[in-house]
Amino acid sequence: MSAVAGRDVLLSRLVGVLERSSEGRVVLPEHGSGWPSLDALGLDSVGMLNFLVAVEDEFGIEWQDDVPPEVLSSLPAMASFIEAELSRGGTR
Amino acid sequence: MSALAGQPSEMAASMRFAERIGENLREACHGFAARPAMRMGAEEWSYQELGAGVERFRDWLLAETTEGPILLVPRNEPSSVAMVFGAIDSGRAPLLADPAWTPVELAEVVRRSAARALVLRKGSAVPAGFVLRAENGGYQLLTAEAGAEPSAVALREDTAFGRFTSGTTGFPRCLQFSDAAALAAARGWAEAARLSPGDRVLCLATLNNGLCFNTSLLPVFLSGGLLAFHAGRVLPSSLEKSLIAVDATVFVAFPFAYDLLVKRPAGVPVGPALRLAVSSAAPLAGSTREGWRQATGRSICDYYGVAEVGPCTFNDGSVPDSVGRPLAGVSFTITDEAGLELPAGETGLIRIRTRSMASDYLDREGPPFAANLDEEGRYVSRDIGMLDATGHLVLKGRRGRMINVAGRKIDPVEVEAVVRQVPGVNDVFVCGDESPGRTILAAYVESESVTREQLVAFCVARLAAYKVPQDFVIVPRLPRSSTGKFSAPGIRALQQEGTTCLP
Repeated sequence: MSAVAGRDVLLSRLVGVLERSSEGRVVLPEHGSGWPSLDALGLDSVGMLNFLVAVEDEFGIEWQDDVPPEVLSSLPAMASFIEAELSRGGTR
Repeated sequence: MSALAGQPSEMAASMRFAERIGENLREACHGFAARPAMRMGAEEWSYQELGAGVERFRDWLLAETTEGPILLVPRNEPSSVAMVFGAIDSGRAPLLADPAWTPVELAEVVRRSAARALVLRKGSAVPAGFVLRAENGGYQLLTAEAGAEPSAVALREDTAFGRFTSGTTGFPRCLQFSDAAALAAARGWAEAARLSPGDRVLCLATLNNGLCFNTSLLPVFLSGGLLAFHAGRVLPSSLEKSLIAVDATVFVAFPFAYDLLVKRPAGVPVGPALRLAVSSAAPLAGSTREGWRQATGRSICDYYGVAEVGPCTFNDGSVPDSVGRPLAGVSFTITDEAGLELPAGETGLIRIRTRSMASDYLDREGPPFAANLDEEGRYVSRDIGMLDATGHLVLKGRRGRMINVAGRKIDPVEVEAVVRQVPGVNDVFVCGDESPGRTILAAYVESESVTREQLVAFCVARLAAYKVPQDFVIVPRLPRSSTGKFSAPGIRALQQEGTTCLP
């Protein structure tokens, strides 16, 4: 699988996690152009935490405190980060 | 103008109040000297350093301002604690803002409270129309370009600081607290929680919040304990590291943090030193309460407090479903709507007598504070409860429309006022919808054209994130009664349909 295809799969999984963790309140197009920032989706702090915990569970990673805020600001940035972590075999 | 303002008269004014927070804190900093007072990650402040920090910020504010109040936006970090107590000691009456507020909200709070200055951490978003006047360490002091508006209401002579309540008037209201009230609250809690110099208190609540102020600031410092802040995100994996690093004896957090920890597959990450887990502000889920008890062998101290009156109970967990017994100096009376006292075991309105009560609001945009009091000076809460035969309080409900989302009280009127400004919105009704595990802020919007995206974008720019509705139900016509008011059964039907409109 190419890197781009792999990232698209990750993005698609992230969208699914977001929809599930928000119990369907937030729905994004599967392949939208110009992904909105997560702030712009209007998730409250509990919603955001639920999403981050669900991402940890989905991908078997842990968000360390030194992960830059930009990584958590949009789904594409998050997907790139997760992709890099998984390719390193890390458990961040 | 504040009676505490004005350079030469300040000391004289301060002497009029025998018991000052500053004096008590100075005594603690002197007495506990080299002991650790605060920790955040690798950063640690001794009591001596806390005392010096308080003095430094106090002198800075005295040099840079001429009168209070000032709106202060603290963060959960040691320097902000020093700033808060330095501001209190300066007599400038800091009003402790919610760090989640947007710049738009901060500017409005400054206007309504007639704050003379705004103190922010460097790097924070600055409200439009404010200019930088001075800097100190990581903080900046700003004033409104147009100058401070004339005070609509006098700051009381005995006001030491202000904290905000979400109010019921469409905007947060500032409560004025005296030194005596804060000290009574701190001593009551420290005594009930048996805080000592050996305690290490890890607090997740923000400094402006009653849960932190009442259980983790003055009570810890007057007891000589260590106050620790969590340096990372409120994620279970990160919380675990803090709990272990601090080896906390006391953990203070909102219910959602307990929810996250209890659901953690690896188990609840607390060490053997933990003797007290404190929660408040919102009901704990039964599964969380039981999960914590099974994992730690201890109950969560789910206590009862009210923004206007401070902490009211301490809960040792001995009576299931109770929020505990009153703190020293606090008493409850349960009455019917007419004020007639009800016997133990009967449910009614909770009236509270306490020395830790606020003295007034700092605005005149809603009912006066005295309207909350009965003829005997008791605070008439909006909470419904029952006292059992042993004096334990059991909460049964709440009057009014206030919405509690994860421990944050939200006035739906405030959110409705913002949503109504969105072009294309005819009207809106905001309420809390019960979802498995938590309450969701929902907006039922009457519009034929607006989209969820437009509503979210508008709200995100004007409201703190926790006030942005998570559910938007958009319908051409909201159900109304024959008098034109929203129809409760009709809204409930919309809730049951779950017809959330998505982009």
